[in-house]
Amino acid sequence: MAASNRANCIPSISIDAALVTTLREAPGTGKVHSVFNRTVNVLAPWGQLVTVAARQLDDAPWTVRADTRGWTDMGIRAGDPVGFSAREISFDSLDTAVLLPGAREWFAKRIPLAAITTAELASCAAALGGLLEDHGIRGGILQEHPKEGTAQANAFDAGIAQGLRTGREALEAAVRAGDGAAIGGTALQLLGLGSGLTPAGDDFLCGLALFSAQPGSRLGAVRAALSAVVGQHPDRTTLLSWTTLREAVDRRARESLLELLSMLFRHRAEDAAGLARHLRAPVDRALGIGHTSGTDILSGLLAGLRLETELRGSL
Amino acid sequence: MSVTAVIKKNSYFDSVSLMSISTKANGLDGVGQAFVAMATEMNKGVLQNLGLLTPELAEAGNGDLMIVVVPAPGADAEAVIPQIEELLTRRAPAGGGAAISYRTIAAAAQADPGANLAIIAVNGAYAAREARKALDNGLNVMMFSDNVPVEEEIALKALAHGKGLLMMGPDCGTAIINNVALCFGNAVRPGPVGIVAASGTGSQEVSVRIHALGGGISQLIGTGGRDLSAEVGGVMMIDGIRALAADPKTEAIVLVSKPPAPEVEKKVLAEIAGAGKPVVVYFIGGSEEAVTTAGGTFAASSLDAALAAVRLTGLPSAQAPATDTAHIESVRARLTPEQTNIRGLFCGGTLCDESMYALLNAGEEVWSNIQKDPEFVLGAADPSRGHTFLDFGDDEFTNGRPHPMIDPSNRLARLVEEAKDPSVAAIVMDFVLGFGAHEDPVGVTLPAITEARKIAADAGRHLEIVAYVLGTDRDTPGLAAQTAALVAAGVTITTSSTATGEFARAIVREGIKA
Repeated sequence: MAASNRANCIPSISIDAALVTTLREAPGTGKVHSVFNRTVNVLAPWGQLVTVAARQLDDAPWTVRADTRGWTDMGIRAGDPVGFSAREISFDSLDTAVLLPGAREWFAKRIPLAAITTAELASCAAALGGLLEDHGIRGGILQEHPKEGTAQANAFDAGIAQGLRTGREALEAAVRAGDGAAIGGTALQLLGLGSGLTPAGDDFLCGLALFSAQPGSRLGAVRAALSAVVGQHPDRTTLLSWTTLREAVDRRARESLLELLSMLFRHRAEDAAGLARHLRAPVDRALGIGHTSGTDILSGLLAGLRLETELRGSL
Repeated sequence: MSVTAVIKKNSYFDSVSLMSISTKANGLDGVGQAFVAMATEMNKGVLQNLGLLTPELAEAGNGDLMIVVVPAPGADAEAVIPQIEELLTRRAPAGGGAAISYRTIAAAAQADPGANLAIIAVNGAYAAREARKALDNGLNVMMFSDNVPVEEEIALKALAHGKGLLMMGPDCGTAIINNVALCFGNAVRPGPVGIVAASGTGSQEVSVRIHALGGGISQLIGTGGRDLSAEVGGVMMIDGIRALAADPKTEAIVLVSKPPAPEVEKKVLAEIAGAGKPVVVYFIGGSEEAVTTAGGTFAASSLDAALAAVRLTGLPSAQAPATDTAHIESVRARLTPEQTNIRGLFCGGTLCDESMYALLNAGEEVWSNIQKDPEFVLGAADPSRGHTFLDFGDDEFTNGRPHPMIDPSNRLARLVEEAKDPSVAAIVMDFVLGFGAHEDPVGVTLPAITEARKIAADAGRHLEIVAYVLGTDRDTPGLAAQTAALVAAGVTITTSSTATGEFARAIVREGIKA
């Protein structure tokens, strides 16, 4: 690697292979969109949101993982100019660059579903459902138990919860009916619904889209409808969430989610207890995404699993 | 319905911050309900259905954050706005900047010639470089950063030693310098006891116990957890002892650490004779004979250390609260014969250690993520077995999450999980108050405690929840309010970290039926 004359040079660990190609073809200057402790989101010159992540995060679409634990102490600010080239992503005002040569290229793995039997799908759904019920973070798509000791939701939270519940039920009904137009319409009811930076409705759609996009899935109509909704409505949610959802439709998502799917099917022949044991650690990792985002995405994946099982059973 | 809104254009907060802002906004005086959300079409649709969508909110875009406030009856909505703004300022998105910022340490030192200490909390890869700059500018250093190579630590401590400066850290999270608590610390009374500690929550506990016993703290010098390793050689602890020996406001010195390397322990204890002041030594699992021979006062527990310190500094009759044996009996009477196990769920590593050692010293087998015995080590994803004590602040639990003193969600899920195990007699927890900690650690845990107890009750069992609140009456929130909330929920309160371990041990000893 050639030496850089920057004051601060941060080596990168891995990078989305798609980003490598794009950087070669479209260098230029972008700007910082948002800064968090472990990620800096940058609006690239070609209009794409690119994430520069700390090393403890997993690989993900349009992401480069740099060898640093965090960003908030570096003084990066929203709006700062960011240089993009095949060699580096540079924060010029801070004389700091993330060096790209030598980074391992990451490709989103595919999880072929065709060889998996209906019984195995059902078993996987039961194991994942059990873990989610026991360990999922409630408050998003996974709603609070109506029990003593739970704080009374305010009117807005209650309205969001109701919207998520009815939207999800309507979407699942539309999938069962095989009604592409209704799938799109009901997905639109969920898009942008929820308080966070990636709203719970989007996270649920993301999980469902990721499952339906895997080769061999019988949920092709779901993928097609979600793809159309995402393509036509970039203005209905936050840019970060929209980008994540668009990638999920293209079967690209954070490595921890793909690894979970992979583990699910790798151990599908085991009994429920064995399967749950294998899944516990990857489920925990996925549940660590955001506050309820991990739970909401897994809920979407689980919905996909269950719908796939139902649709195959009805053939 | 009256409604007031604050809109922040293109503002991005992570979900934990959003939740925190929402919780705080709902707790403000004069607020009936507060909603915090990104201004997406669907979220605005929900507001419209509730009759709360103002023209201003309708104009907000997907990248805007909206805070919608419905005032309490009779409250002035406008008066709430500055408080909401303050919440947002405190939780400003990263990159928003502070009131004063300097690009270099030299510039900061030049701008404020009175400054004599720098806190370094940058990425570990750069921390040593910045610390060196601070030392070169004549500043003492507290280094919060971790992941600093040990070679750098050795070099920095040698540099500081040569300049007569303190090099606290790396990975130093607690200090009290001239009555100002830095990073994680508690509001304690100024007084004659100086502490040098290689353990964050251990030093918090000793300082808080001294406060509770009527004493006070002159200085609390953190060393970083690696200082007493064979490689580093206890440089900072020795410099800390010497600094406190020379400090006219310090009348007695307390040393706190997890077990040091034997050769370093010897070097540190050799400093006692030259200190010219009483030195109390609390090294977990340390040797009484070695301390006594060196001329120090041995402490077998954090409470012993605090007691010894206050007795040596003008409060000779200070007493620790007595153990409530009647309560132990009543707990024992409510347990079934199958309920033989204790589960400890801790935020503080030293607090976990101290309670775990209470059981280990009683000959019990304890599984833990911080166990020294590899045979009894549990991973974060492993189910509990027998007596299990977990330190949720350990790296395996905090990977990708804030420390449990800030974000307790991991521990809440585990609390509910443990309640399902019919072998569990009691769940022991700590709640750490003070600067840098969660704004309401008890309040955020109470629903999970209620749920855990209900799970046990539905299965026909009593589940004892035992809590220790590490804090003082001067902390915010205060010790009394947090303790009262736990008592109201039927939780047993222990009076110190040491008492927590003793209570757990007593239940085990008495609780196991013949």
